Amino acid sequence: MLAIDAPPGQGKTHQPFVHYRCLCSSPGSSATASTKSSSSSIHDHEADSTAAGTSSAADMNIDNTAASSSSPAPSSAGALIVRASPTSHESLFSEHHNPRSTEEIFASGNSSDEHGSMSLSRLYFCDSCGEIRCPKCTQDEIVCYYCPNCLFDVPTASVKSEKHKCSRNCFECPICQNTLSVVSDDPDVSLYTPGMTTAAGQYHLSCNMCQWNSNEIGMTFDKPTGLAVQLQKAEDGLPDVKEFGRLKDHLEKYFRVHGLKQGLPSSLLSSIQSGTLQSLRYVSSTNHKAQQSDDIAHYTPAVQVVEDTENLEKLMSITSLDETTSMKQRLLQLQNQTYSTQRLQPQRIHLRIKKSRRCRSCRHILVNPEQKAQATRFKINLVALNQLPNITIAHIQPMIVQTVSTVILRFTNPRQEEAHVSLEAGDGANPNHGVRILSENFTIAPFNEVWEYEVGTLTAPPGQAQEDVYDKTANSTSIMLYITPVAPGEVKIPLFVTFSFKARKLQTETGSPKLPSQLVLSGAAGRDSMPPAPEVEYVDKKVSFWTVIGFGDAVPTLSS
Amino acid sequence: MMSRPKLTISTRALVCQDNDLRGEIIVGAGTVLHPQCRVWATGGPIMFGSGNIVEEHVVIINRGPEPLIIGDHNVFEVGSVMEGMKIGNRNTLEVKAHVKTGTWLGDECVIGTVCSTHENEILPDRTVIYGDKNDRRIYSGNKANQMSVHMRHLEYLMQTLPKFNHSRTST
Repeated sequence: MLAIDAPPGQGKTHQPFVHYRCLCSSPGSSATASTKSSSSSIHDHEADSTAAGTSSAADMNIDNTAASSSSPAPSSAGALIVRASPTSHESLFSEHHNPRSTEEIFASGNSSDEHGSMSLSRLYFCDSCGEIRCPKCTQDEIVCYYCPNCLFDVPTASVKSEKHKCSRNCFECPICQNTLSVVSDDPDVSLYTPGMTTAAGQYHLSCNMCQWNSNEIGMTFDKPTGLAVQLQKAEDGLPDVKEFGRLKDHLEKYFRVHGLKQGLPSSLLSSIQSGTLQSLRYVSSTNHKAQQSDDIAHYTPAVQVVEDTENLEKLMSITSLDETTSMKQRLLQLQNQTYSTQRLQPQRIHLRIKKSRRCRSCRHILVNPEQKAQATRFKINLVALNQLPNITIAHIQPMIVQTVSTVILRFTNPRQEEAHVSLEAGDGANPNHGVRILSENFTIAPFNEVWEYEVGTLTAPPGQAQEDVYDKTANSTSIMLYITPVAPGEVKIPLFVTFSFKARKLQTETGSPKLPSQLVLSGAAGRDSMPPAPEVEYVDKKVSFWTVIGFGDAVPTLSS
Repeated sequence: MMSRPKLTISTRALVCQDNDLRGEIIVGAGTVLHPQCRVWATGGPIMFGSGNIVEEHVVIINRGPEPLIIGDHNVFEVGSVMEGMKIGNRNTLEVKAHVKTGTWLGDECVIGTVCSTHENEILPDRTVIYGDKNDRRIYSGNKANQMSVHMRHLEYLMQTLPKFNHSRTST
């Protein structure tokens, strides 16, 4: 049905996609400052929609929907000028808490350039800014460190001294990097008790995947606990490790004298945790220091690493790759990077982190996981996927140049409130394909968990004015688009979406990490049965954003 | 559709009834064939040694005219496929492992989960095939421990399986 796969030899085919544009990477994102204060921001969106700058001949009037009352909106030219007015530059990350006006957003991304836009699943939605946030305009913070194997939370203070590795009993296989298990020679020993007498060297590490065994390298243990400490001792004795420690001490002394508050790794750590500003300062201060760093004392290596000639001879005589270590195995054992598989040591498992994500403009937390390693829940999870309507291409016809193709877009409402959506096709695409939206304004029913189990179609309740949409099921509404490609190649159209809903008013507008409105509203479905909280206040919220929708490649004619 | 299989089963072996056996099959002492396994001797006979474990949904096929000789104390885990020519002692075919046609397995080989051999190759003793790229290595083999675990496994199966399954005897 779909003309997605081009015949071989025609180069890359383009798959259909729906991308959402984040304001921070919009092509025209600088066009903001002047319109912000100007009166144009009071323009309500209805006027904008009438002025839909679609290139299609039949410009739709919203009030009489789909009916082809082709009266060109008189205000369109004026409104477009307001939108497109060139403005001065404004830093994107400046302190502004008032949400941008619809016009600003419209002006910012009227283009089919998909650069900087991404699928909804990768985006966040900041509740207090009312804007989409992408990974670039949010920042990560480390919440906690933990071992992925034993799920033990490692306090941040001791992470550095433990070299970011688990200091308990977790090791990975030096051959295949699978997790090792501690086994005993004596199969009757199921559980180790501290008072028990055991044969010396009874325990060893064994890999269940590649059958590697620490007996192979002569490594055995007397007791099955605290193995990391024993391994660490052997590792610390290596000449390269000693040398690195000495070099670090040497340089750290220098940094302390020259006014850097902390040692190198910890300042790096703090810069990761406290955002770009500090890391910028860190970089600039080191550059500054580098100019006067000639007075650094000469470092004399304490350990002379001998030239390894026997290694060379050994490597020359190798006939099979299995006799030497692979690149991956060497890189995982940085301290000596041995070529001999006999000298590969089990490595302690690297710690993992949990990250929280913060909006760069308002500093609110967007994603915050539970602090414990075992918990997989999120305390705050403002991902765009459960706050913005999810647009999917429900049906698509092959794109043929100068031929009208029908496309059905499905809008799914993840919110607990009914949402109203207005659409507007952008004219900034290149090439500017003909787009006609059959229903520019429609509503989507709220999300209801019960509907997840319903099959079949649930239309809007009777009595309610039926909108002229293609299809209306549980919490999704489908609309029809007529696309007329003007040139062969990938068909991409910018689509401006304004999405309004009634949100529960936030109790405080301070920066405290409150429960997001979406979480509070999860109880709203049962509002009738519950005693209504008198202070519940709803505010109309309007969110606008650009999407870029690709419909695959257009072919020149039907026959080809 | 098909003729009854010609079974020679040791009195100390345990062959469950609810499985699919075809052709001439000889089962040695202490060998356990779980229900729902398929042993098809469409060509030559299949001869099991002693103390083998053939779990559910295992497929063992001998298409060639030569007999397929399976040594002692091998384990065929759930869903593994054995189409090879010969298999030694104390080998393990892990879950969904596949030994392809014409392959010889030595002793104490381990074919890892969802790993497969090539066709018509001879695996030396103690070969391990593991990982998603079918990496191979020769391991040192420390199977003394493994054997005692295997014997206990057999003992447990001999006690448990007859309680819930009917068993076959020689034809």
